[in-house]
Amino acid sequence: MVTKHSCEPFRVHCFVCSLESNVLTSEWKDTSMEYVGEHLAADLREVKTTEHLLGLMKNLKLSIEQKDEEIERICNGSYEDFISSFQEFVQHRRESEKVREELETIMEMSKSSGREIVLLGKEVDKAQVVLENIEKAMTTLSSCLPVLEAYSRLEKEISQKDYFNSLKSLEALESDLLPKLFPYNFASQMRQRLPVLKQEIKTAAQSELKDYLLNVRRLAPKIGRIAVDQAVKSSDAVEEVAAQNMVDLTPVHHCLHLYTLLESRQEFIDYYRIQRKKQVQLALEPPSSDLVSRAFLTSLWEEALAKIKQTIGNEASVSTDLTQMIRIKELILTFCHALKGFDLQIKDMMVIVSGIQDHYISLLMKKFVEIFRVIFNEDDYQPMEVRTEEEWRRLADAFPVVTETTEGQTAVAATNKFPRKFPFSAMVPKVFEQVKQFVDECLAFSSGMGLNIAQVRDAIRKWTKDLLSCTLCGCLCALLKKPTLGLTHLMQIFVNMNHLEEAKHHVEAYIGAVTGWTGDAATLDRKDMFKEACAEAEHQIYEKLREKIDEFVELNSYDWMLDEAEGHASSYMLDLVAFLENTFQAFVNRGLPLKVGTAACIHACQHIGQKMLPVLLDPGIKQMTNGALMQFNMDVLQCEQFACSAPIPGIDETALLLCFADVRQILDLFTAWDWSTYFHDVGKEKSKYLRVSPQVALMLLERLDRGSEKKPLFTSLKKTERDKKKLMEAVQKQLKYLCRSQQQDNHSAS
Amino acid sequence: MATKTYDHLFKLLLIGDSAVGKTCLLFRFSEDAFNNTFISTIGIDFKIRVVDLDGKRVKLQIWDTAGQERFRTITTAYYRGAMGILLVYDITSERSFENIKNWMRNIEDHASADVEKMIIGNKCDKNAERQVSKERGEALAIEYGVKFMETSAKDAINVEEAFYTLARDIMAKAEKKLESQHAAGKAGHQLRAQEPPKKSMSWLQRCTLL
Repeated sequence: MVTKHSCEPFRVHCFVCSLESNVLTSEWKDTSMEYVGEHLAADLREVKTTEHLLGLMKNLKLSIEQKDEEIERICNGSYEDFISSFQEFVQHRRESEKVREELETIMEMSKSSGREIVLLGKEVDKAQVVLENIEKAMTTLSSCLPVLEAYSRLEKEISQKDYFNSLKSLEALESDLLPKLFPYNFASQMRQRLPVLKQEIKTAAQSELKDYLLNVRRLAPKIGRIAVDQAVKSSDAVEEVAAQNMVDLTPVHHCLHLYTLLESRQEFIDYYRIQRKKQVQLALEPPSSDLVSRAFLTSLWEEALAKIKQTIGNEASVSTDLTQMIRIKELILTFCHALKGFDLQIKDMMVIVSGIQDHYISLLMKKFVEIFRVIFNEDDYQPMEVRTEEEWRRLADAFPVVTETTEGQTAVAATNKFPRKFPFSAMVPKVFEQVKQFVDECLAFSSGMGLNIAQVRDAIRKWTKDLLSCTLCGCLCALLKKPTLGLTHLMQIFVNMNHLEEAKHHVEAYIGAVTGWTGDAATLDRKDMFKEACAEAEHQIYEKLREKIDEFVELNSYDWMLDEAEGHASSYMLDLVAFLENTFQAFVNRGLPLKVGTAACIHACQHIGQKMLPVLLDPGIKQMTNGALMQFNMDVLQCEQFACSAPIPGIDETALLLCFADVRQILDLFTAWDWSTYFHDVGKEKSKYLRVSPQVALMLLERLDRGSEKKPLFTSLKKTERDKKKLMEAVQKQLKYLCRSQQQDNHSAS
Repeated sequence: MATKTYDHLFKLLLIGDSAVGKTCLLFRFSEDAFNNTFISTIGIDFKIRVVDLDGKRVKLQIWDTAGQERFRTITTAYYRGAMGILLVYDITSERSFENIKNWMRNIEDHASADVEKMIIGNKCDKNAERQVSKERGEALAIEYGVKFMETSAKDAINVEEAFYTLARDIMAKAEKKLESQHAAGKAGHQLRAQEPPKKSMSWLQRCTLL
């Protein structure tokens, strides 16, 4: 009510204001009339006529004044109320604003709390879902639990190597538990893993088998040895037991069982066989008879044989160890013997043995080349001497030849006189000892080859013959060619060779003794064993003699203008002859064959003769005295004297003298001045001066002529001297004629 | 002697009875001369002649031996080194021809097995005094499987031919021997070359067996 009342003056005021403005603008509108009170409206309609306008105005003014008075009165009367109302209104306005604010705050608050509630509600929803899930998961997991348990048990069993149970668990998982389960990832993974585990079990079982195989392999040689031993004893029954006792076969059966469970029995058998095949060289008897058939064994052996042949062949062909080779041979033979017991072919094995034998012998020969070389190097090439009884006995044992005392001087010395000398040097008993050693080493190889005594003996005899006539002889030849060897060395070697040759039948006897041969003893070789070496030794002896003679002859220092010859031969010639005498004395004393001594002596003489002639005929000599010629003659005589002294018993003196024939005839002609005979016999076969050519005679004659001219003492024209001179001229003339006619002969002949 | 003036050195040997003309044959061959007077050889002597054989210079060292029995001990020592031997007889001496058999035996005893031999009937200029027909000489040579020639040192018949023929035969044999030695040397070398891989193979085999 208050509000309605207080509004009234406000509305009126508004009307007045609007009316004033309408009038002022003269924009009258019909609608605005309605806002004028009922009185006014009626007045206005009456006033519309212009004649009344002024009256209206007056009326209006009056009414306005009335109204203003009325308004003033009303305003005055309502002023108080209006103010208080207005104040009240303001008051209310303020309050309402306050309320409004409050309301707004409350609204805000309720809005935010509403939002919170919404959030919480959502969370609650989520939690509820989780709860449901957890419950679901729990049921699922509990259903998986037996599978997992079974699986972990399986793994545990595998890790504990309890393969039987693990296979059982695996089987249960595979056929029972897993199919019932929802195919979760883990389950399918598990399912995928099962075959892997199966394979793992298999491999594990296999490794166990491998351990077994390793063990078998380790034991195989032992078993083999037992098998071989028993094969030697030919007691097969015991062998099986013994072999099986040695090896624990459970892993094999274990593994076989496992593989059977895994349904791969065949695979196992194949694997086993392959493995055993690889071991076949080490194990001969397979542990389980149902695994190995006869045919399988034979094929295994054939396969192995090829490899064995190659391996042993290769191994043996590069081997240089003799003991090792004998060991190889023995092993092969024992092996063969054992194989025979298994009815396996061993022919090829025997071929291997014979190959090894050849190699062995050739190695042996090589070894002895070295042994002989060492013996030769160590030798002093002096006749051997034995100082005591003990030494003598030791030598007699080692080298029985010494007890035979075929040579006179040793026979005499056979009494207990010490020291005793032997013609040979220390190398001889050493070599003999080594030859026996060779026989022993040959025998070491030949024994056990299933050969009879005669065969063994024949083989050893053949090898020994080769050793002596090839190896030893070759070594001797090489030794003889050494340039450092002197004449005494060569002689000693020759003597040594003779004694070794004599020891031949002792070697033969030794071979007989060691091989157990009781039949006839044959000699190793009828011919000279050391033929080559002997020829070489002879050759070297001649060569050395010639060298020595050359050295002596080069020492000559003839004074061709010597007045008169000395009463004896030149010193070089005396030395040379003394040397020859000593040398050939040694030939005889050392017991060299007379044939060799004789040949050496003739060689020496021939060489001296050949060397002396050029000394006399040296073209450098322009003049010569008779005295010098006589001195030369003296020297040749010295040689001839040596030739006649029988330097070697039974030597043909004539042959030795003939060696000086060329120079002798010249000297004879000139010393005898026997020119008439020379010219008379010229061209005749029986001529005393057959070997003196007219050229040589002329040359020497001219030298003598010049030589005598230089002597003023003899130039006196005595009658005898004149005759001599005449004769000289006549001889020279005749000789020149002969030379000319011979030249013509030659020309016409050619 | 610093440079070798020849490709080959052949050692030849003349043997046969005394006075069959060995020295004269050699004298004819080395000096192309002849000496009518017989001077017996003492012991042993040699002459050298270098000849041209199919483009090769061959030095012939020809040993002349004493036919006399008394020098037999020293002459046999030279058999061993000889590569070719001329067995000489005198066509006017039945005995010297008969003795060829003995000389052959001597060769068998003392010479090396592969020595080249040749039988020579010398003095074929003395046809009037002939005691041994050419046919018999030929037959004997065939028997021993050696070549045969009749010669005359005096008239210089077949002397060159005889020495050349023997030298040529030795050369052929030497070259053949050299070839086979070469081949053998090669083979030996190959063998050595093969040995190491052989060894390694055996090692490998051992490996696989292990």
